[in-house]
Amino acid sequence: MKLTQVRGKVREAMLEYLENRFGIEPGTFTGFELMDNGKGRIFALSKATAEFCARNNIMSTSLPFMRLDGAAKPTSAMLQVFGRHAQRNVLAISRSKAKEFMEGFDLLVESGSHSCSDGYVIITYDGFPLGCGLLRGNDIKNMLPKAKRMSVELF
Amino acid sequence: MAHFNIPQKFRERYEPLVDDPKEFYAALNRPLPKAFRVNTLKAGIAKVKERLEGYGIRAEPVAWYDAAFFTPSDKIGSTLEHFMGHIYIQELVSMLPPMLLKKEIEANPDMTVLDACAAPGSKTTQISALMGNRGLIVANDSAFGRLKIIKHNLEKLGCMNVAVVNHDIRFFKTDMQFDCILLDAPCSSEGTLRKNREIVKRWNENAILSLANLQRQMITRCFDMLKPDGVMVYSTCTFAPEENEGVLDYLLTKRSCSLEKINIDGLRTSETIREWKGKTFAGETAKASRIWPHHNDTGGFFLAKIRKCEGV
Repeated sequence: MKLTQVRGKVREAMLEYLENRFGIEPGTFTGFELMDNGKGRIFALSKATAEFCARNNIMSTSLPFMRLDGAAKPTSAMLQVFGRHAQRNVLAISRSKAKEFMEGFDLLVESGSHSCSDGYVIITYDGFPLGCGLLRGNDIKNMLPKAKRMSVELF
Repeated sequence: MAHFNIPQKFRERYEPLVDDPKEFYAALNRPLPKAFRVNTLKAGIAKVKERLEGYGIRAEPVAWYDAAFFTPSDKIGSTLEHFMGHIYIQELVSMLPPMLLKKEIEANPDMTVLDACAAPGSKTTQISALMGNRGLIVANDSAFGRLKIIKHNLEKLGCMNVAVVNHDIRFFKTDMQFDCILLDAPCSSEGTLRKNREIVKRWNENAILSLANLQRQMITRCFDMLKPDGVMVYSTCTFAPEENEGVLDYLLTKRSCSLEKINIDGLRTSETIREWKGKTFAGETAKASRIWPHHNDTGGFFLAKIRKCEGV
């Protein structure tokens, strides 16, 4: 595959979404290019890597940044890197729930225990952004990719 | 004897080359100490060490690399730090080739690097961390089935400067020339005996000769993708002189290059083999280094830093 650069208004709209939803300043991503694989997947790459991926056939790259097939969704990989810059829709969970989340289970949260609104949220434990969840009322759907899920014993 | 399961031919081959055969065999029979490195793209070294020690996991420093630690714990893989990609479990000697590029990377973090045989991506992600997610690493592997693990590791460690490609490096067509190339070549893997006993069962000298042939083709093609004055690191995890000094000797006769002496503070390196089966290797090959398992309690390894002559 070859990637195409996301420029101008489209890039601005993506960064605006992250700012509105999570309060992550667009300036956080200065220095990285956003690249589209034509199937609704956006990657964040260094400038030189972005140029290479625009000109050459590649098998894969990193960092997966957002998915745009349907509602815009930040990836867990991206939130683990940039999630610490977020100021809202960050949902801190307990130790026992963190263990379940890392194993890939959906979670139930008590209403009134957080200030997040329905939609994608950043799940954190002890300050660590673990990944992405989808909040609907009291339910959090686990959005961690299967390959990332594991049983964590020490934390 | 401790080395009862090591083939006779293997012993005949290497006993004359090692300083202390008894210690050599004893090391081969000991399990390999576990090691990991802190992924500085996502975490700070001191904080990770402190948290791991909080779990009761011992993390002992490695003299030659501040991000690397030995650990006696078998729980390191089930920590939050592992889940987060804040640490990467990696054999110590496998962390050496990227260290040879550290000076070049510090001088130019926006450089272009080719990792010719990248899977599973341990060295790729380490170089990515040394570059601080700047510049470009082209991570190649010829095995399609192993590309997925590279991708997984890149994502887990938060790399943003790596493009993965799938070529037989000998026939990789590109106009690009790279500032640095890492050729961690497929080899007979004798140096990994401590973690994989199967190596002994399928060990034979014919495999060494055919791998050496492959390595000669790979090193020549990689060299041609190097910019003038560019640096290539050639490494293997085998003791076989045919796959190490022999491959360098071949390159030195075919291309205009020189070797740089390897000096890593805190690491005991050994001299190369000067003569093997009636052949004397080019004097320049003496600047490469061997790592014997019993010297640093690691796997076996071979390292060479090659510089392409200007104006070639």
